Amino acid sequence: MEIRHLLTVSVLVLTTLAVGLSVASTLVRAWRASAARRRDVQLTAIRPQVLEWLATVDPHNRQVLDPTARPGRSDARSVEELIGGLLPKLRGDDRAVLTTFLERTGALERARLRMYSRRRLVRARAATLVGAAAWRRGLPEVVWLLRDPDPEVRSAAARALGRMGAPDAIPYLLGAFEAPRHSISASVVGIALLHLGPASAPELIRTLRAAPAATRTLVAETLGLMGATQASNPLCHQLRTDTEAEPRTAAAHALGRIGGRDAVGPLVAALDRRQPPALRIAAAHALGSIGDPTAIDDLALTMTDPNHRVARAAARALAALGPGGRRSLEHATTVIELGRPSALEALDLSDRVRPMVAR
Amino acid sequence: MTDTALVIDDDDDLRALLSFKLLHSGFEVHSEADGETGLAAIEQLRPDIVLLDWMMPRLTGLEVCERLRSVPELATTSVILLTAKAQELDIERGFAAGADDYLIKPFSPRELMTRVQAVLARARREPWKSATF
Repeated sequence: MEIRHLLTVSVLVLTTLAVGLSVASTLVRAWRASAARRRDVQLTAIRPQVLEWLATVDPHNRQVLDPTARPGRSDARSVEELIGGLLPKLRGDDRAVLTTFLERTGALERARLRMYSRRRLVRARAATLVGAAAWRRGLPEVVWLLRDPDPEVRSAAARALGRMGAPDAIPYLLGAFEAPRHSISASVVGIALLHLGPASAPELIRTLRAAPAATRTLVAETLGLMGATQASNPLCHQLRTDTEAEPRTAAAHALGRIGGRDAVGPLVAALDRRQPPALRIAAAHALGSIGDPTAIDDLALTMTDPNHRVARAAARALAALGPGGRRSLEHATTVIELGRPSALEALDLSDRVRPMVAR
Repeated sequence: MTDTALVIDDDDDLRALLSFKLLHSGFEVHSEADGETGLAAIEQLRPDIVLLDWMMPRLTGLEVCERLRSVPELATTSVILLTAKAQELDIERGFAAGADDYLIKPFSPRELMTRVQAVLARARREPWKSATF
């Protein structure tokens, strides 16, 4: 009897708890949704004020930038959110005005402290604001968030470091990419490195020598996308000597994007049939991008490569090499052994693409 | 006489900021949020200058620019193209479509205003361009 009574009480208590929790969670969700709606309304109301203020403010008048002279008395968080969204779109005086405003109103210091919040969205937003304002005092906290347990927060921190334009953050970004647990995706780190701009090229070039293969690959790709001409020689060295296929392939792609003629020799050597197909394809593409006619004979020979993807890449590269490349393709269409299918396809593609580019 | 400017950009904040800047510089300002309504506004308003975003829904800035240049009455309207596309080929395509100037995002609104004045001054120095033969 007593056991049955105890069970009934337990079930009642558990049911009450479950219902209570469910009601509390619904209330919290409703409260958050209502707060978000209120902030949207506030944002709509203050947006014209802030933008008009920004359009008219004199960036050299310190008094105007005083926090007490801020536009309206609207909710500070809405203003911060609006300014945080504007910062990545602007350069020059207007950007400096907004950054100074955020600093003087204490918004950036508050964001620095919010990076320790228990709520992941708050941490991510705080890192984004500090990054958008390129506020160096928040750098240690942003770096710390690269190891956050939440992947969205880690990505926000990586993007923030990129926007801060701090080349000294490169080891931390690459460290976060290499981390066995809580790593950050190659695309996020790559974009962050790109945002750092050409000033980061020397540090990235140094990394090519020592880092793990995945990092060497990412760094080579990034240097190519940056168009870092000073990386041409180190990338040629990587193409010739790296022990892994992926970093060599990335180096070939990068050299094609950078476009220096010094790379033609190492790229032609990479067309050798003993090399991995992905590398041969990348080398052919790169030679087409560089556009040096001295590669025509080697590319013509590569059209006979047993791997049809390599042959096709060589044919397309020839199509990009001007009249000499085109002549070579036309010659190949007459003899099946010279890679006729690839040559025909490349000529057809070239004829269709040229008018589109001209437009 | 007051110059008329038309801002066509799907980014609400940039559109409003540029409109305020132009307004405070003495322009009569209109704005549109996409290429299609932007083109209609150009035909209706005949602005002196158009600040035109490249990437927009319905009709891109590049298409707007090309269509604008194909209409003889609108061909002399000055156009500044605003875009995040920074590749040489993109810049070439922008000018080939008929843009008078090209500014890469993120940009300095102050620099943009300087370019607006320069483009308009150039258009006034070269009135022969607006003549129809």
